[in-house]
Amino acid sequence: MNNALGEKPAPFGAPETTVEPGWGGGFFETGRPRLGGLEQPVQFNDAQAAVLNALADTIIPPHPDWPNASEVDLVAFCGRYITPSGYKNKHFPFADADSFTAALDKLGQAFVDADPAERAKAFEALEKAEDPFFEQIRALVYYGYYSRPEVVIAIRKNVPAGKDYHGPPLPYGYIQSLEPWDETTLAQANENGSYLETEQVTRVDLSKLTWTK
Amino acid sequence: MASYEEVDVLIIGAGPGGAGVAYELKDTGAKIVCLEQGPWVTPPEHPHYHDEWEIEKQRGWAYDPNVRQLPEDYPVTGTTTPYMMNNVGGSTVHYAGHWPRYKPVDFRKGTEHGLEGTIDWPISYEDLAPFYDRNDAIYGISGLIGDPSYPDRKNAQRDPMVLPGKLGLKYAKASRDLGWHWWPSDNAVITRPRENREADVGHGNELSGSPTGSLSTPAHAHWPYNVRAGVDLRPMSRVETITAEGGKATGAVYIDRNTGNRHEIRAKIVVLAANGIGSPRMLLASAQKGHENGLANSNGMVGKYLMHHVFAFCDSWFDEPVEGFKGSFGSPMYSHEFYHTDMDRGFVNGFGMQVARSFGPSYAAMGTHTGYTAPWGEKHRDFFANHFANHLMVFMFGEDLPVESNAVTLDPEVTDSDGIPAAHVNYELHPNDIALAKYGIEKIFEATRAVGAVETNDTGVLYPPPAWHLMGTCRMGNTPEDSVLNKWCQTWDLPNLFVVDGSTLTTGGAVNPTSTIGALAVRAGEYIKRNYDHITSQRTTPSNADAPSM
Repeated sequence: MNNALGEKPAPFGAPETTVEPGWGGGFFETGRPRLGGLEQPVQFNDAQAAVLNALADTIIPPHPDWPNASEVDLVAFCGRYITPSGYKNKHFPFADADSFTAALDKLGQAFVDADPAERAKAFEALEKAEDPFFEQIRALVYYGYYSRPEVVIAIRKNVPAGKDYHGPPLPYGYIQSLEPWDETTLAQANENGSYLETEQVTRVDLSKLTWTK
Repeated sequence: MASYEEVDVLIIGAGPGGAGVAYELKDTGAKIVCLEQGPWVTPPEHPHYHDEWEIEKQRGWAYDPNVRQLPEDYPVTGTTTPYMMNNVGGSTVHYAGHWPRYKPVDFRKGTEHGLEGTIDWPISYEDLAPFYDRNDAIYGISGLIGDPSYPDRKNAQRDPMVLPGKLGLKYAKASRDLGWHWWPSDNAVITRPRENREADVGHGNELSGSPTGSLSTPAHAHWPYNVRAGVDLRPMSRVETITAEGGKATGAVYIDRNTGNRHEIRAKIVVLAANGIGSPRMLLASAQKGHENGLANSNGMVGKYLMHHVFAFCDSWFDEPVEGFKGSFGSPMYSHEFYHTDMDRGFVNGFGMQVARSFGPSYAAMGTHTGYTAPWGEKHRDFFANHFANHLMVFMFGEDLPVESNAVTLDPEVTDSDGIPAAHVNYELHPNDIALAKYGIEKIFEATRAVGAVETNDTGVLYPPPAWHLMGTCRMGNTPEDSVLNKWCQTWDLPNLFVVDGSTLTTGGAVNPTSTIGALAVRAGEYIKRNYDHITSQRTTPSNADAPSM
């Protein structure tokens, strides 16, 4: 059955069976990424979830004024935004489930049991090695953590510049708390500025060009 | 029964060019079909109501089709970041809505310096001015009349200005203190409700569109009215070839992307409006007997003189709230202090400073516009607290020279999902562009430091440029030797084939091009309406002097 656009249902990325020629890993004909990520998220086992949460606390360490990154269900967020096994890895953050879970497994229980300094050292090693997993997990933690409603509430409380931030732009918008132009400032706006009329345009002195090709 | 259908006007592409022409012709009784390869994006497909609105900007709402890879997109190869969307409304479905006009000098850059491929436009600001006004009224534009850096435009309709917030007020103060020009921006954002459209509530994130219709795009401002009047808009219809015979365009063959079936439409007039990359791609891909180098390309100029503007992103942070997440993304104000050529600077052309809003906390953590990513680990919390919403970004964007080798061609090896060759872009910055941009970056930080910026970061001169603006590749000109189009947007080679989009622009100015593309679409549509019989009887394209007047 096709969707409203007449496309075959590809929950995320083009199916592996897509013919291969073309550029960028295949044709563009399937693969509209679903808003909100996967309808059926990638599942992690308990050990993998524990590593993921330990990573979240390493990237954004606990602070008494803020929700812990390990306690805002980034496991579910990551599960929605990585590419399931068997699908082409076409969309941001370009993390495929097989490699992603393998990276979690590799860090394993030792990472969970480590103290914050040891965890940081292990994570720094991934960064230095330019392991693709480093950028994937950092992006997922940043995008995930700051999208959670409980973190939005903490932003309002803790960051003066964010006191009015309410998360999704709509339906509220910010019209109620935006400063208008003040009349004094506006009255001064026309003090500077001019333009050339069409017939005033003449050849400039090109001998003054300072660049060379 | 004929294996093709016949119409009066066939329009290819439902963005500002195609929508604008259709709008002018919609009540004439002409049979009009518009083919659009993408869908009509619906409000629920926008991310604005979702907690995850920020990560979605990188996915289905990514600007670059090579990243986004939606079914309606086609690959664009080369060192390029082409920012476009393929859907009803075209790339305006994710634009900021900055709505400046060209200035008179922008139509006379050939006279002013004539460097590289620069020529004068075949029309003047005065020729286009009434069409700017008409186009603005169709879209719905907010702003303030009276900018001394422009000719009078007292006939333009304006909704009240968008609110500046702390961000707009801060850069206005900086400009004022330095004695620079500044003015509240015109924005394609309505601040009063219209039919089927809500007024802006300062939500921001217009770079992912606006599901309420507050952002003025052809999807809201044109197509509901075009369709109501009987224009046959066909989304999911991808043109494969524009056909020609006997020195005239005859129509197009297109693929219905719902069924995969091919159909032929024959038309008395064909209007190509597929953007500054898509239109030359389509003309080149339509090479056929008698047009071996592509349609409208007997002089080899289709695809050449590609312009994007030269860009740098300039971030400044303050030790007080700026609240850039508030307010419509379209610029609250701009400065054209450095717009005009001043040879004492050592380069021609100039640049605008356009104050932009920010996004949310994830954007702050991920490094805003300049890749200044928040540190992970123990320094993260402090960094976030000091940077989120204390941030002000200014676009430095300047006029780039039209260079012949900056060009759109066909990629010989890569195709879209229907086997149509991909576009290939070659674009290099010119030394004049680089000199201009470096000067611009300095000036922007001079302003933000004057009002207390405590930290700055910039991208340097961006290469490849963020190619929101796709211009010049089928340009209007003065003779069949210097251009692809005459002054009425007719191709020199085929009198009944028009090109009306960013590729039409002869030079780029140092402003966002959509208001000018829209004005040209109104003008071309009006011209076709008034001269339909003449145009359809022309066997060759008239010179600018001989063409019937409006």
